[in-house]
Amino acid sequence: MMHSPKLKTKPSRNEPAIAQRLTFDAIGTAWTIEIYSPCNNRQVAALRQRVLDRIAAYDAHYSRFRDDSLVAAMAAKAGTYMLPDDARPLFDIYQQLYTLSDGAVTPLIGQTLSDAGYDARYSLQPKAVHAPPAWDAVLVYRYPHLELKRPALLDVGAAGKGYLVDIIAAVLEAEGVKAYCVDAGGDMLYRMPDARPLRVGLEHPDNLGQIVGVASISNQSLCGSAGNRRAWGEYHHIIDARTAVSPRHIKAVWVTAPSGLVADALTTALFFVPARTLASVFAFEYAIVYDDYALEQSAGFRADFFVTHKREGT
Amino acid sequence: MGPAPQNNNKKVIAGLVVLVAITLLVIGTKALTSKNQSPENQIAQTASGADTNNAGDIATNDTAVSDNSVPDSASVSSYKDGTYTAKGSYVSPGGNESVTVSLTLKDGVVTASTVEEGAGDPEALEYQHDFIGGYKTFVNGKDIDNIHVSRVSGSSLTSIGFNDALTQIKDQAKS
Repeated sequence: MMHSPKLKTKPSRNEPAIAQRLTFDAIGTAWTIEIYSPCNNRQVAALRQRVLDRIAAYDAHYSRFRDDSLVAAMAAKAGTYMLPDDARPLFDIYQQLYTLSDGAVTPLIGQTLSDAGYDARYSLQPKAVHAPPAWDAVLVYRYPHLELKRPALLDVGAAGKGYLVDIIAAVLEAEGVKAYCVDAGGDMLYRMPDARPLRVGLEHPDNLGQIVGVASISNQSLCGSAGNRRAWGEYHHIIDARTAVSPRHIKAVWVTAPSGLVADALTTALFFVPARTLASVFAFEYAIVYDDYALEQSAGFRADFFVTHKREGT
Repeated sequence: MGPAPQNNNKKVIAGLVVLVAITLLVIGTKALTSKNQSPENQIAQTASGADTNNAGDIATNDTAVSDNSVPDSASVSSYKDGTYTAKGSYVSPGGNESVTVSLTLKDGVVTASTVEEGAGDPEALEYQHDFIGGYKTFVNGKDIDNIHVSRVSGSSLTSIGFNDALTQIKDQAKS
């Protein structure tokens, strides 16, 4: 595995045999696409090109790290913009999460993240950091239009990677690939017609050479979020839009859901919204590791954690 | 760590059975309390109620009623306020174990509950902890090299750019 040489590449027993593996860096993370369906080298070369082209198109719309993207245009000039064909699920879920999280999760967090140092140059040097304006003060969303009453730097990082995983999975399916795992830096979607499960190590939030458990997924997405790696000073990649503070009460979150979009979005939402509130809207399972390493796991989250038991408060 | 998964399941099932049995026992106690005001009568009938409700796993049980407050005449509850305690014993694969449950009822609502583990076997103790409020499960790390997984999920595995920047910032902070 290109991005993590420590990992054993030998699949465990009963895991699907890998016919082809694509690895590349894109949108700031390391991708691994494993294809289990029969696939020759010529097919996989064509597939690789389609995947890279599709990611490039997505990046050209939604990246806040480049000055020629749609998002960059919105940051420069107010107005009503025509959204891309793929934008609806993404903006719909942002709108839902904004309401459910009472304003903590918003695409308007872009400027706040950038000011905190998570900018195009990865300066990681916090300037004056402010909470973003309310949704209604800036945005009017009526698909396929998004009106910006004033320029604003949008960030779709809370759900955008998981959604791109879904989109790349659709690219594979369109090419006839039925058994695959699309893994974008630990956010993944796995499809296998015979429903054979895939084992995924759950990374220790503080010791990167360790895992705290092993999840088992089958025909679903698993996404994780932790403050440990994209972290600098008092900030990490999640910032509460109401307070401009990075939450510290949770060390790591994992979510399984039918789609990468929902799984990725809910890993962020669970930093701010009780699971039962989200469960009234979305179908998902989850596990949370709190800052004291206490584990909260929903009944249907299929994973074996390495655990001890202690009386609370001791 | 620990025994084979099958053994784990048996113990978990054993733990569940005993908790269900204790719950039935306590409910039995409550129901009888509402009809019988005599403490001796309660204990005697509870014991027989338990025999009827729980075949097998409950080998012995002792119940006691303490701290009974004056019944609230305005209450519509059919259960008498008070604290009810029951001790359940069961046989696990590791030997005889016991659990003591106390419930405090107010107007038919459980306002407090405590469970004391009585297991002698450390493994049984661990499983009892799973069922007892006030205990938390904490995660431990294991070296990735020792576990057969071909992929991990956690914080996003980041590109070289971010990691380089982070290294530079840390170096600057030191100088």
